[in-house]
Amino acid sequence: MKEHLINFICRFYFVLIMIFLYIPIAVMMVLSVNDSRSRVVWGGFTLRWYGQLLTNRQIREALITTIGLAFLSSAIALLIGTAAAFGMHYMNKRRYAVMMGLTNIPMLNADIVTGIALMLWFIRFLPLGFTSVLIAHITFNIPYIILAVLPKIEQMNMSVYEASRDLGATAAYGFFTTILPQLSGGILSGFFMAVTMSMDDFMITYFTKGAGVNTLSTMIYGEIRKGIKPEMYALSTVIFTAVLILLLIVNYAPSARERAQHRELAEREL
Amino acid sequence: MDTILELQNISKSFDGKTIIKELNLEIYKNEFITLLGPSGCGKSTLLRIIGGFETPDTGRVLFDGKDITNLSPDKRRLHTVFQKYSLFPHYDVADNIAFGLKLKKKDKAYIEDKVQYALRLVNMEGFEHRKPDSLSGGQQQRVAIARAIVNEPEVLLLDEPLGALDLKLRQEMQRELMKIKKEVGITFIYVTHDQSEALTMSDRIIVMNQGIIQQMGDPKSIYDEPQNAFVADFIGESNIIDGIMLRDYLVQIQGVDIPCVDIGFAPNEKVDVVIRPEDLNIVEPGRGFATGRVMEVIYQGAYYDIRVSCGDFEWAIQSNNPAMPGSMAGLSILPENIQIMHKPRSSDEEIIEKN
Repeated sequence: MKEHLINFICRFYFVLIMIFLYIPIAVMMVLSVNDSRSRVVWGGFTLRWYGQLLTNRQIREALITTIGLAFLSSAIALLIGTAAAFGMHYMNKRRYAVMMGLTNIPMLNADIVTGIALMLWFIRFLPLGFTSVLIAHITFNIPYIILAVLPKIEQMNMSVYEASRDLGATAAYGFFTTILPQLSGGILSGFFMAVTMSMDDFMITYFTKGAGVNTLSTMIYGEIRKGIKPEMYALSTVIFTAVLILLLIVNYAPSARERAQHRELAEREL
Repeated sequence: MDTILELQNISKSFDGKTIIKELNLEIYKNEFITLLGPSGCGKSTLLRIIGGFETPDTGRVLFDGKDITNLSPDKRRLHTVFQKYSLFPHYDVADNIAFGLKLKKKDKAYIEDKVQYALRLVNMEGFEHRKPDSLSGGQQQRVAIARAIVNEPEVLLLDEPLGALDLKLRQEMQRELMKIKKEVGITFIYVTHDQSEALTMSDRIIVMNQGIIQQMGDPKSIYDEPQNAFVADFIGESNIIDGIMLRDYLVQIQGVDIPCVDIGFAPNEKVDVVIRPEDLNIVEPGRGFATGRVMEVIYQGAYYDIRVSCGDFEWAIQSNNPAMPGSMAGLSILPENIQIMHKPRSSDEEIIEKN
């Protein structure tokens, strides 16, 4: 009897959490296919709002800006962050600790503070526009890259690199054939993490974008102030799904590879 | 004998800690030379300096008379077999072995031939298309050896290549390494902390400790005539006891005069006396040069490990016959099995090389 009760409470608690976490998103998704402008009346199923997304020039431009910004800023952050991770790996303990702290602060810092600070800095040196948003996104993406790549560098097996040098490879060739493959898992997950963060960001973009440039998040914010339109439900659903897929890639891809390796090992043991 | 490698006055320290101290060494063509010592003695660092992975603080490395001290590893005509896990994991066995040849832009048929030859040499025919992580530790090291040898280096450096293998496999690989060495006829520089490995395979052993060469010579001379207490203790187990060299052919241990075969010491010089456990015989109490109580008898398979306490010294004896713990026993020794050493003037005194 007591066991039943505990079991029930556990399930109830779990369901409650799921409701709070996902019902709002589910409601939004349902509304995105609701053939009615009302939020309380079900007017039948439609993909009309999704169709309007494709034809709306403003939305299309914001989408292109968002994706371009995400991939470009992540790619540049990848180069800087990976180089930084290598530098940190070879630092002595104290400098490493200082650098680690400096890496963590921007991630913990409130976005609004980062946003305003970057804006103040930018308006002194360059006009706010795509470039300033790009620099801002690169800035906040670098720590995610460092944190994803650094552990891989620490686990790295240097003797493969030395073996390649020993057999006649130049430093660059040895790096690309032996070290880069070992880091690829960390680099990939860091890159997609950064893409996700960039697509997800509103606050920093809002302060550094200037007039005329809009990402999806800043555009939605602007639209919603004028009144909520069902297209926005559709757009938000698209963004949610895209981010979800990205996150699944980030979390699942490396572990799937590891699982495959484990399976291979296990088979050999047999 | 032709010298192929010459180390001149090599010193190296890391973070203020001296690893190698003003070391000089000549390595000859076609010899199997072993750097032997406990971990941290500088042997691996020395090998890395020869391989080009470290630059010495002072001194020069000469290869065939030419200074290669600052040459990067890819430009040296020698190759290294690393301790473990140095195969390229994403290449199969054949591609691993072909790595160096492809970099040298050799043609396909030549590479194919050489890979097959190398696989035969290390007894790994048929493994061409296996990935490294599907091979056992011993097989991986065979491939690593093949990968180095296929490039026809003049010197092969081996950094504890058998360290990660179990005893049985290690002994098997030792025999195989000697066979490979004979077949390719190049210089092997081998690093190990395993004295039996060194004694089995080497033409010449360099015993190192604290960045200094303690002794060098062929395995027999290292084992039979250790030059100081460190070497005696490191190479096999030893009884090292204080003695006084009364005159040529006569040494005094614990007040007993014992005939020996050593000469050339000052009269009444204080010396270290080294006696190997397997050279001591247990005789009836009162006979032999010492008598003491049997403290401990441990069965070791091939022999009994027996401890006999005489005064303030405990002798280690390896005997085919057991003794009764607690009983009294005498110890005897043949004069030629006694090794006399000068007392070191300082703890890490360098021992003059003996050729």
